[in-house]
Amino acid sequence: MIEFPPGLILVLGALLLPFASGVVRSALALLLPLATLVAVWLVPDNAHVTVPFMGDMEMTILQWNPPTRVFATIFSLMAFGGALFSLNQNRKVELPAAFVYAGSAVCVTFAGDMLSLFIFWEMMAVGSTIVVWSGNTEASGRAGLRYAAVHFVGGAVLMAGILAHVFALKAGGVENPLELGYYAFGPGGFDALSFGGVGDVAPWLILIGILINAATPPFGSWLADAYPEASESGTVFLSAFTTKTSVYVLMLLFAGTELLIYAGLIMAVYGIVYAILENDMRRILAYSIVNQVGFMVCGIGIGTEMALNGAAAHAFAHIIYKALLLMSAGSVLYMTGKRKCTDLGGLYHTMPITMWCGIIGALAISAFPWTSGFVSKSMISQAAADNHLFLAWMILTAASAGVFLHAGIKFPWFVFFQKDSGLRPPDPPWNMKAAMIFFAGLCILIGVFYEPLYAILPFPAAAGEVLYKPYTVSHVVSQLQLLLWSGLAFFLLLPVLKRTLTITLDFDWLWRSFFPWLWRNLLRPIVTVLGWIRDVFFIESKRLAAAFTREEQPTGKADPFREWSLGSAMVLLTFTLFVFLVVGFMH
Amino acid sequence: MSDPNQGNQHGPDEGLIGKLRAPWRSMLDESPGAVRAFWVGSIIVLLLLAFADLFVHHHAHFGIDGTPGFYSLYGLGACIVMVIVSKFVVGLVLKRRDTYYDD
Repeated sequence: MIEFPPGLILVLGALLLPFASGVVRSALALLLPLATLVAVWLVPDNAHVTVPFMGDMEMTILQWNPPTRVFATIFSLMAFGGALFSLNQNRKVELPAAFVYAGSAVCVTFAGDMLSLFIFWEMMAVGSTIVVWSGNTEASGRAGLRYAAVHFVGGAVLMAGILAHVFALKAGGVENPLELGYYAFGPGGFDALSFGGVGDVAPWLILIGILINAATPPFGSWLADAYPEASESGTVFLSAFTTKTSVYVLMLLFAGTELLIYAGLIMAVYGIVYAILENDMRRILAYSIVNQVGFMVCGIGIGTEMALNGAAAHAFAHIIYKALLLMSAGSVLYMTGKRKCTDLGGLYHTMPITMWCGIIGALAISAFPWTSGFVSKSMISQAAADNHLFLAWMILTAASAGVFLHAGIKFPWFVFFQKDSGLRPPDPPWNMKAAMIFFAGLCILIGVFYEPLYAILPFPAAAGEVLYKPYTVSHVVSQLQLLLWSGLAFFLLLPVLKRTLTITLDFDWLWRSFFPWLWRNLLRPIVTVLGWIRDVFFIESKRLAAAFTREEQPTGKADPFREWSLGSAMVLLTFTLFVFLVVGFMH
Repeated sequence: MSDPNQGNQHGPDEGLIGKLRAPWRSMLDESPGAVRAFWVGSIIVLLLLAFADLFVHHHAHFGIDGTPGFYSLYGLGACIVMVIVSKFVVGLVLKRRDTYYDD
């Protein structure tokens, strides 16, 4: 029996990888994720493992939570698929970093208290940043830095929320304030629109910290910024863990929080709008991650058993088909060195396996009947309908149509069809093909034999009952109508959708462009002027006074205004504190 | 229903049909039969699906979703709206050259 977090197999195994080479390295790369998967399933149902922490406290690093099984299983499986896809890479650091990242994600799902959850959460940030950097280009270096900055800010916000809540609980006389149960704010403890008193700040900080990782606008632009800059295999890993771990944590802590319905709907639409405008094929798919996570976040906001099951199942299905789509795009990038739709097209001539696997991934993300997306996403829509959420249902349905438009057709069409780019690359090396075929097979297998997936969802059906029946004539016909007619919209609007050499500004514009501009053109001049004023009033005037009363200035004594020479930074700090003070009084 | 295959095979990209045909040009040059079959087949399937609602009972949750052809028209309409809003509202304001951050 397993009495330790299974994710540690990947995390610790990753440390062995750099020392292995050749067949041993390949074997390790494939066996470590499989061993993790087996270990996940060998953890006993009543497992509860604690480690001492800071003397008198205890940290629970292993316990089952309702969504643990489905998330831990898919994270391990994903690590295997990603490792297979990246087997022919010679980048030394990428795979170990990806394993630390994946292993930490598995550990998050088994974490029994907020502290261990937070520690593994931060390890994910470290691992994933190194994966971005392994893209080994100047752009990936800069994007990785921005990625790290956003995630460490997010981590700090989350930690601040946890601490605020710990102090509140401690004040209330709670023995073990880190227990997950105290953080399950849900619909009861979390009145989404109230914000009175200091105690209420904790859930907000925790929620924002998680939503930053879930890539919810306005905190989400890091995803489309950083992921497409990683290597072709790095992006495959990146697509899977960060946002879906956030989905897992949201499900634990904020199930039924109404605010999340709207957050999810905004994500679903935002992802489509940006993907429609995008030219980089992997950035199209990055935006569609936000769109898909939007469906899950919306399901968590609805919060019924059906909705939560749907969100968990959708995370499972999504990780597979999104990785498959990015493997297909990664194979194209690997074989052609090109990533923009304007440079690609007509690859169906020589990359049939990559094309067909890409199309299967595209059908699955569009939730075509007999693919994995169909059996998972429909549960979320069904839950919205069952709860009479008309607006949510209409937007989810429109977004389902939009998925087919922006990812389901757009990606394969501009990469493999449309104009002939003249490129005639062959299909990628065997391991990349094998990984794609494996995941493509899973997309269809789950779509047809969905019962095993339904059996591991957070709220499985009672004995003898059916959890959900995805295949009814009405459902299949309505879904096919929705998708195929939106396909018609795509082809009718194709002249408008012509690819252009453009990007679309996102919220990261604030810190990539606006803040630097603000500093150059406003703050720096202000600070400089303040510096001059200080010179005139505090130093020059003093010197002037000294000139008149020379005998009163004892030499050798420390200049009383010495500390001001700390410079402009001091002035800025004082000014900032003053602003805080004013704002504080006004409140 | 606009079939981009109608009209002159090698005509200029003029008029609605010409604009719709333009993205297909390289594939039309290579295998016009396949493209034609794709369009004819697709249109038949689209119509069959839309009219299937006359025989399939949809369990309506909100009323509107029980209307025959609702999903077809909603899918088509929603996508057209989303593309137009993306291209001509969001795109107009936020689109930049892809070297924007490099400059």
